[in-house]
Amino acid sequence: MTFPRLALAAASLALLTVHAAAEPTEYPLTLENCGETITFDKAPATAVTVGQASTEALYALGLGDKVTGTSVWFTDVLPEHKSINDNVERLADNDPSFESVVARKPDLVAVQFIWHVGPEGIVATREQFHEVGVPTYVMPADCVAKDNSVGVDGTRTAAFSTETIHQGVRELAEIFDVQDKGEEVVADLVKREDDAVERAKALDIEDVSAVFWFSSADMNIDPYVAGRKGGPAYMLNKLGIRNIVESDEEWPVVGWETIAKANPTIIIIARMDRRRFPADDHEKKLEFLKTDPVASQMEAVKNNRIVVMDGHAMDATMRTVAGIEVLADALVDLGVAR
Amino acid sequence: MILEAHDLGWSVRRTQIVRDVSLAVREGETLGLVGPNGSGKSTLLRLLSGILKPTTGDVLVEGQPLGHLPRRLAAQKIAYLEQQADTGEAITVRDAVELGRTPWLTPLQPWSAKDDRIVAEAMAGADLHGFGTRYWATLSGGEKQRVHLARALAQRPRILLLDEPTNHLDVRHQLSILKLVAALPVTSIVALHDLNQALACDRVGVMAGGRLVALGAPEQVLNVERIAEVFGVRASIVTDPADGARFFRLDHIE
Amino acid sequence: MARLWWRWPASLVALAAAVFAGTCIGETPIPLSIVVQTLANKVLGAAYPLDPIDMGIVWNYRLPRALVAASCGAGLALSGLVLQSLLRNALADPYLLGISAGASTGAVTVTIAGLGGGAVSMSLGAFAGAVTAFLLVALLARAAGGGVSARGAGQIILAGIAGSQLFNALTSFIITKSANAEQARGIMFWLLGNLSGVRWPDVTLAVPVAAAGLIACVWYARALDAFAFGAESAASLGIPVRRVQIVLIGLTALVTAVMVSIVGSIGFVGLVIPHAARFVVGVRHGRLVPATALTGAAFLIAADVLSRTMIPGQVLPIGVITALVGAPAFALILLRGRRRA
Repeated sequence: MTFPRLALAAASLALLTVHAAAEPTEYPLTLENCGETITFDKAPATAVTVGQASTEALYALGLGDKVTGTSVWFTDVLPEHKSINDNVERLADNDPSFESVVARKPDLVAVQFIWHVGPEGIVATREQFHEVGVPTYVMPADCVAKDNSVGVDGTRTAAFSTETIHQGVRELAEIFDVQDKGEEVVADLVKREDDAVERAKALDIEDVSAVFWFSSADMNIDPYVAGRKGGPAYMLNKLGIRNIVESDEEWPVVGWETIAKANPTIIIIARMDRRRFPADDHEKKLEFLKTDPVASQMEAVKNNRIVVMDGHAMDATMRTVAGIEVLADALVDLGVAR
Repeated sequence: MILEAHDLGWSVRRTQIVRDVSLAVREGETLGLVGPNGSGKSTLLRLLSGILKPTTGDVLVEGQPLGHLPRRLAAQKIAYLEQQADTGEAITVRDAVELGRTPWLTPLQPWSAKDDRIVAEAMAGADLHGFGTRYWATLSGGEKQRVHLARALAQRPRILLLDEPTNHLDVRHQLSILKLVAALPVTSIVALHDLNQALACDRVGVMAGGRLVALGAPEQVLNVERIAEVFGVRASIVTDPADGARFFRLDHIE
Repeated sequence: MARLWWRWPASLVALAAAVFAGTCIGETPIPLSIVVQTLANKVLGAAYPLDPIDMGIVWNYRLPRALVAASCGAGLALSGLVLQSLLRNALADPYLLGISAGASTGAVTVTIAGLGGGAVSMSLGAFAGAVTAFLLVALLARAAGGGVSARGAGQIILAGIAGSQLFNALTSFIITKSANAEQARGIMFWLLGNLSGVRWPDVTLAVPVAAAGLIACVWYARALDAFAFGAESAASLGIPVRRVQIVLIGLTALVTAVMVSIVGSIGFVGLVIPHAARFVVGVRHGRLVPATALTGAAFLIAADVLSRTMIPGQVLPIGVITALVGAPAFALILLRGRRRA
């Protein structure tokens, strides 16, 4: 008789402990977010997203049923969210109009890039949204330690770290009062990242360098490559790989001559759905690397150490972790171990 | 007849600037063209030079239709001096005069000593000794005019068409230019304002309202009635007792 | 004139030296010996053992780039010279006839608006846009009574301005409507001029076109001189004005359109280089044409090298360099010119 009681007591205690870790949100909730103070009287009932990263963050938190409109898509939604996403209206593939967003009367607008709602906001400024009573939340990855008034994509004052991604998930969870789910998501991200780093450590690699090639304005022209402080640089750093690009800009233009001379061990190229530049197509990037008289002589190309990665993973989003995993797996597969 | 015009006419946007002009110019003569402003003198000269295509009628040079001659050959026969030609370029006087040799030069017949000599003679003829290296912008109006004349002379044409060449010139140069032109072995047609200067020509043509209303010897063409009718001024003919030369004294009609 | 026969060979040597310099200097330091050995290997069939990357950089990147820079510099400078002489306007430049504006519209239509679905390259789009804009401007100019007479030249310039404004507006419209920041930056980079993507196939296009332009200008040098006092004066000097106008302006447009489609719109070259050349050799086109071509070629090679070496590890748009150098140079020429005339 005592044993079931003891078990029940133990179970209740365990349950209590788990619940104690993630408290319910206390409203009214006031948050500092990218230079603005936003307040919530209760958890938002509906939300519109401007930016795929914020959309996928909300889906990951199990809030898909609260999303009434999405916009700014770079690639297909993650497969695990596909069925939810199919039931959500897409306001625009690219930039939505201010009216289409507020027409949904959302309780929150979640934004990925601040330049959509910044002082020169393409959609509208945050003040405009707040004036009509719609709070805006910008993913911290785009504004923490980042000066968005300098450089086309903004300039990071400190190197990116997945901490800001976790912060974004946690803050969204807090706003929507699903903090237990939020901790779960963050824990999962942290675990995946740590596992990948461990895998790389086990290889004991030495003097491995890499370059991230996102795209180019024209096929033969100097490419957009990842700088030292963004998401890709974080990935390389965590895995002990040296970035051959020295610029602090997010996506600087570096000549092929410089890249060829640096002769990186691995080249990571972006795969994306967009087809604005011919170089968006990763097949074309591969073709260039194989046929260009100089690029084809690079060690990475001759030894086929080219990694194809989801372009969106190269942005500072939850997918960064997926990028780290892909890269760690590549290190194993390509046999760059000593 | 070195130069002929038959029923020459030119109009622009339904305004006839020149109409029904027929004339025949004798080789070697100096033909003066007079007429009030707007009578079509400049346009007639441009038609005769081939720069302007007539809307009616045609021009014959040495018996050949001017319209069928290539521009370069036409320019070897006819030189045309505009009223006011200016440039913003920093060219020297010598450069400007050397331009006159353009119709005679081809890639296969480039500049030679002969061209140097012709240019030197042309500059001498226009009294431009020592002006060779002067820049265009530093010249006075009259000096510019003489440079244009030297350019026309360097062209060594058979026919010289001059549109009011004595504008801007001081008295001395006015007289010497006319004397020079008259003495040249080329046929010249000179548009003039000064009726007295016209008296020195072999023949005079009078333009009024786009038509050639008279053509012939100066004494016959420039009579008091015609002058009053065309120019609207009263002319009295005065004879210089010293050598019997005749000239006009002009006054308003009361 | 005959005693200066050495001028042409000397110019060619100077040009070769400039191209060689452009091949030696680049983003990364490559020793002179390697450059020389590469050229020996490729041209003379020598067999020096060289790192394939170094050889590739010298032969496939730098040399074509220097050759195209030279062609483009010469072509744009000559186009500017021709337009300045024919239209009697010291401020004329090759983009006067709407070519650069049309090229940018063509480029953004292909890349940002996505016309042609990625099968049409930006260069082709730019060329098509340039030609379209020029034809429209030519039609407009013709309808407005344009020609090389004093009044006609003004009409051509005004038609060019109207055409350029129209196409610039179209470009802005497409950019603001469809582009995000990254696309806009890609286009901006191209619009300001970019020689990075240049390879040997571009050389086989740029060099003959520039050479054709140069030959035509040399052929018509005397005719261009004759325009000093205007179109009527030129006609009276035996120049077939209408034919010269059509041939030279048409050729100018073609040369400019080709160059712009290969390297984007590089400004100031067509405007400033003719004046710089005039300052040194005078106004007679017999000397001015080759001097302009040579100066333009050397200038653009230098500008390209600067654009790659000014900030280590990063490439600046070449149009920025030409403007930074060209604008003060132009001011200087204006001031010196005043004192002389």
